[in-house]
Amino acid sequence: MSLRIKEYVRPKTLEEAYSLLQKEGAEILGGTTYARLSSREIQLAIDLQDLGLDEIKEEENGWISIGSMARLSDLEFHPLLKDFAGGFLPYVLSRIWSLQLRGVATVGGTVVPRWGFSDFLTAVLALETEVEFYKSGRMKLEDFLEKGLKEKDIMTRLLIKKEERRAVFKYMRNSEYDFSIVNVAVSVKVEDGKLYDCRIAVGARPGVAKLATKAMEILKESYDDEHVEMALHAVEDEINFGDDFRWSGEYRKSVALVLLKRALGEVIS
Amino acid sequence: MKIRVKINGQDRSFEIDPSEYLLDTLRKNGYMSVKRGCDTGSCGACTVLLDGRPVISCSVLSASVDGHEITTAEGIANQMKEYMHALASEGADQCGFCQPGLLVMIYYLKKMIDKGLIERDKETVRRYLIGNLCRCSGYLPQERAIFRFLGVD
Amino acid sequence: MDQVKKSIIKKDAFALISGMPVYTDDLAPKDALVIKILRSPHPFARIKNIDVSEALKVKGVELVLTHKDVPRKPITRAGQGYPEPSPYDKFILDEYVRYVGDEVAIVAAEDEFAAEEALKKIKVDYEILEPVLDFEEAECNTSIIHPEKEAFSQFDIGYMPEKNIAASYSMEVGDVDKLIEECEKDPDCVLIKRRYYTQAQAHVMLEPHASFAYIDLHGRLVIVSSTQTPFHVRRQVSMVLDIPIKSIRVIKPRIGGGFGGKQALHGELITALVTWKTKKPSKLVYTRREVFEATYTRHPMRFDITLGAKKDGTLKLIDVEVLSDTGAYGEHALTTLMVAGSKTLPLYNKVEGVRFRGKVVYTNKVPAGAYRGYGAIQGNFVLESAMDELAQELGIDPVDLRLKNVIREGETSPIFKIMGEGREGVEMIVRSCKLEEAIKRVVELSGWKEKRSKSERNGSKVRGLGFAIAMQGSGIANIDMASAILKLNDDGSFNLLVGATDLGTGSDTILAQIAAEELGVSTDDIIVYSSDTDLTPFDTGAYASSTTYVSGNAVRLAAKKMLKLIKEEAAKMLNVSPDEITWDGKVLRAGDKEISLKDLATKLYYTENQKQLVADASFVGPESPPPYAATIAEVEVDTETGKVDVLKYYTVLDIGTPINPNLAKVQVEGATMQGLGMTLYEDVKYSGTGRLLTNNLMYYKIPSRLDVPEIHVEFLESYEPTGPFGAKSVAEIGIDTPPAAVANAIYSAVGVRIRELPITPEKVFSALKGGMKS
Ligand SMILES: Cc1cc2nc3c(=O)[nH]c(=O)nc-3n(C[C@H](O)[C@H](O)[C@H](O)COP(=O)(O)OP(=O)(O)OC[C@H]3O[C@@H](n4cnc5c(N)ncnc54)[C@H](O)[C@@H]3O)c2cc1C
Ligand code: FES
Ligand code: FES
Repeated sequence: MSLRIKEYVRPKTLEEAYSLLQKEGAEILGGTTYARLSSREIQLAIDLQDLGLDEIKEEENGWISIGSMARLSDLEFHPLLKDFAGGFLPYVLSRIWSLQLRGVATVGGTVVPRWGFSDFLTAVLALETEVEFYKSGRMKLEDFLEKGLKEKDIMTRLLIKKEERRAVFKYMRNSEYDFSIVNVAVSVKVEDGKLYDCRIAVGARPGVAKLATKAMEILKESYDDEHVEMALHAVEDEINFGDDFRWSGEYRKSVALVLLKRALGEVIS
Repeated sequence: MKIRVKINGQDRSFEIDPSEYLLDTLRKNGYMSVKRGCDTGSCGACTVLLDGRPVISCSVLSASVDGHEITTAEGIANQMKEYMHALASEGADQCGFCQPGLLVMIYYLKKMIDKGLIERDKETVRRYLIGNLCRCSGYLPQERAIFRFLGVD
Repeated sequence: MDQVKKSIIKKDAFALISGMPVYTDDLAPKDALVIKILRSPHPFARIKNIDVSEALKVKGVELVLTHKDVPRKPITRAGQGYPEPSPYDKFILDEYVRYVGDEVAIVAAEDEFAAEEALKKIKVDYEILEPVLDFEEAECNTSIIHPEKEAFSQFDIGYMPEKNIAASYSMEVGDVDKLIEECEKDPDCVLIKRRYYTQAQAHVMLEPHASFAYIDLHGRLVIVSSTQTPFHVRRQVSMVLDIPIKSIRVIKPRIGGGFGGKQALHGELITALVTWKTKKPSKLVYTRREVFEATYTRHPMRFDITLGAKKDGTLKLIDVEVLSDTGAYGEHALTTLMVAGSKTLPLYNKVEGVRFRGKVVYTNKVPAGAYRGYGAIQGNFVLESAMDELAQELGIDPVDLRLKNVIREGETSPIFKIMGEGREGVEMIVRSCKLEEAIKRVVELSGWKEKRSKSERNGSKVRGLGFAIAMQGSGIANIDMASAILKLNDDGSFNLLVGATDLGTGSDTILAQIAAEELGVSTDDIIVYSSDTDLTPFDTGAYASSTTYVSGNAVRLAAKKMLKLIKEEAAKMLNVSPDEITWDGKVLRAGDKEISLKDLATKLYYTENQKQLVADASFVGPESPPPYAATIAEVEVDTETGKVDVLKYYTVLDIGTPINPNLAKVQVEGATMQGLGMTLYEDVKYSGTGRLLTNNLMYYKIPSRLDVPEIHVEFLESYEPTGPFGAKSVAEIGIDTPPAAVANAIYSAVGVRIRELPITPEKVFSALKGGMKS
């Protein structure tokens, strides 16, 4: 059976949307692609489409700002992202399910529920990324992914630091048209041919994407083979992998390490 | 509740339930080219254009399209004769259930490729069509026709 | 004329591609009652009490039915020739529910929202029973899935419900135990014994099952259904609902794929019942989840196979023992089991001994039924993997091992006579068989010899080639019957009325081509109308690769008769004898006299010797000539992740004359991808409580566009003397070889043998790690 909606509204201001959201049984609508798979009843469905939240632009202070109502396909084709980090994000987005789904699914609907299977979250986590809520304000993506929010709030924007980064995303799937069995993203800052600040994210564990902070620390010292090897060991220790009904945690872990090794090899070379 | 939409260039208005999806609204109102092949946004048989971009209509809430524009296979089939002929000449039409959704995608891709927004390249085109499942043809005969029509090699 | 061996465009192509309303749900009356079904959440339970009073109060609800309200008459939903070789073990609704998804109650309402609301309000009190979820533990389990006395089988199919056995079978040629013993002792012999498993593949035809019903002006029941077997549906509905056949009409409009999944009743009984009771139109369109959870799957099977051969590669014996899982109901149980043997074992017809035994057990899972390949794909995976293992053991090239032992033109196999479908078969000499040529050709195309001699490695990725052969049938000999009617119109065109059921394959067009070729006219002049029990003559339906061969022969015979009639009438008109008439497709001539077909027809209608020319013919295949295939798959295995990519796939087939080469090729390409889906992607998972978890297209993965290898399909010149213009069948053969060809290729690449489908990367990975016994 399917999702039922009692009442549908399109508020004209964020303030209005926020106060409506505080009502019992009120929920924000993203693209409804995932929401509709559940069978529950939403008393008040709040559609944010009139609030101009689909804007994608560059801020003066070096951040790319992505409205929470931007569709994944808006991002995929946006000129701003084409050149950023070698087209890393359009590449990742083009690997998410289908173009027709990406034409409906929103950034807010992807970030807020902290989907474990998400390819997008793994990718943006490997960049310097922040998320902004109407009341709770701005926070690091990793903090949000770890802790979530205490209260009902509206996500307004995703912010990605625009800096010179080399980034690689890898995923394992059986059929290409599937969720990733596991995915990894690695990025490094490149300045004057030198590598800094490697970020390593592992997702579809099947839990939500996580930074491999210990491994990242190790690589601060050096990017030589020995440190890469040590970093991989650290990942094995610090990142948990679990079973779901399709793939075992053991398998996910083995593959994640293979993918990470390959990804590190590519960003370092 | 009531929504106003432009479908295939025509202004229409429908009385809908807030829980209704675009796929159902369209079919109820005679746009039978829009097919339902799944319940999980996976098959692409329900593909239409919403403000010019392809969407799976099974996942779009009808209430949310109030004030927007929709294009279905009915609205573009007569501009796609050359493609239809290419497909039929390969025997790729088969059971046909996936075809109207695919037709909408090809119409869109052709426009994007002509504008230079999508690369004229086999892998690219395949990737953009991944959401159009077909169980009959094994995809190959479709692709022979599609690549010929799009001038991709 | 030149209407066959020609890639004519399908007659319905433009209607389908442009999205015209041609499928069942597109055509349903707007005011049809919407039917929804309450389904069992338990794998096995007895309904102690069911209360629908609250559901009936929901606004817009017209009718709620439970097992108390419907006739209790057992039936098999299998769409097979009557009397069917499947147990009569299903009721419209029953006090027992036997799998998660089984029907509990029927709601008909004004719209979907009301129907769903009502479903929620039905209160059911279940007595939970101990389910049988593991088919290897089904036989003689303390839980008996079909304890009801009413269930029965029409004839002996080895039905033993008290042991949870839906059907069983055994046959033996020679003394296999003795041969095994000899082989074991003889140092010049090699014996291998292996166990394999295949999974419950889902059809995933893109159009979910749908039907609607209404009452016509004569008070008759009209059922429109996306079915492969309209005539079986009419008979079955009549039997269960006690409505005379004459009061039922079944129409099949365009259908969005079937592959065997619509070779059964799924919903028609229910729409018929609702409309018959309410006299209002009603419709039932399955959700995709219902298609997964509550229609059919392929029969999952376990095989124990023993092969014995001399060191020189002469195959001495084949011994196969099967355990097949039919789920909660026994549709197609016996026949899919038998086909696992009958459509594989004759490939090696020179063995001294062959034995085939098996049982089909009930479990509390989604029922299994007909699916393209129909046992043959399961049997083929096993036989052809085992042949590869044997070749390995013997140190002989797998291709040479086949060449030494395969069946050839002019030969026969005792299996043809012993094993039919559910009964004895028919003796048959193989009149057309280009298997040996196919093998040689596919070896050449794929570069087998050069590529096998060196292994290609690229980093962690290793390539390998695998080989397999297959056969199928063309209809069911002595059982499948088809008929056709041709009618001349006054413009010289013809109506062709056939009971045959086009599932989207283009069979309407192919039958028109056959008629046109025989009549000597253009296919454009044949107007086909098919699958309407009121208007078209009988046909058993579209299954068992029967349409081109069986229905095609009927069409050809009808066309022959029609041509004779036309010549006779022309002779009268021209005052000559019929043998003097010549015919060029437009004009009939005798000496210097002539009349065009159009003029002849117009005269026959309006002025002279007035009559309607109609010709009809029926055909029952006296035999079932097998098509053959030889396949080589080239794979690349990532040794670090276990991921398998099929890079290239070569398949060379003998299908007799391809009537429409394009459509034949597409059949093979489509079947190949379904076969590769079963091989690599289509994993079936249940929860511990018997719920199907892979019940949607997010988790059940059919191959996508990006999973398609380079596929090379080639047809050999071949002519089947009993087929229409030399044709055999092509619909199923393509699905049989992918599993073994790919499994063998993986072995050749990385030395691991996966004996359980699907071959997921995780299985390959653990086998590579040595975590799996190989
Ligand atoms: C069939 C399918 C396959 C998919 N495959 C993949 C894949 O392979 N890889 C991948 O990365 N992703 C995948 N996704 C996920 C997809 O990319 C989206 O993340 C997801 O569908 C949600 O998008 P939506 O906008 O429709 O969210 P919705 O379903 O509308 O919303 C989801 C939740 O987010 C909340 N929400 C939405 N916007 C806001 C906001 N601004 N503020 C507060 N709360 C909000 C909603 O209240 C709701 O609870 C898949 C999704 C589907 C349906
Ligand atoms: S119906 Fe399958 S994607 Fe919409
Ligand atoms: S033609 Fe049947 S699903 Fe594509």
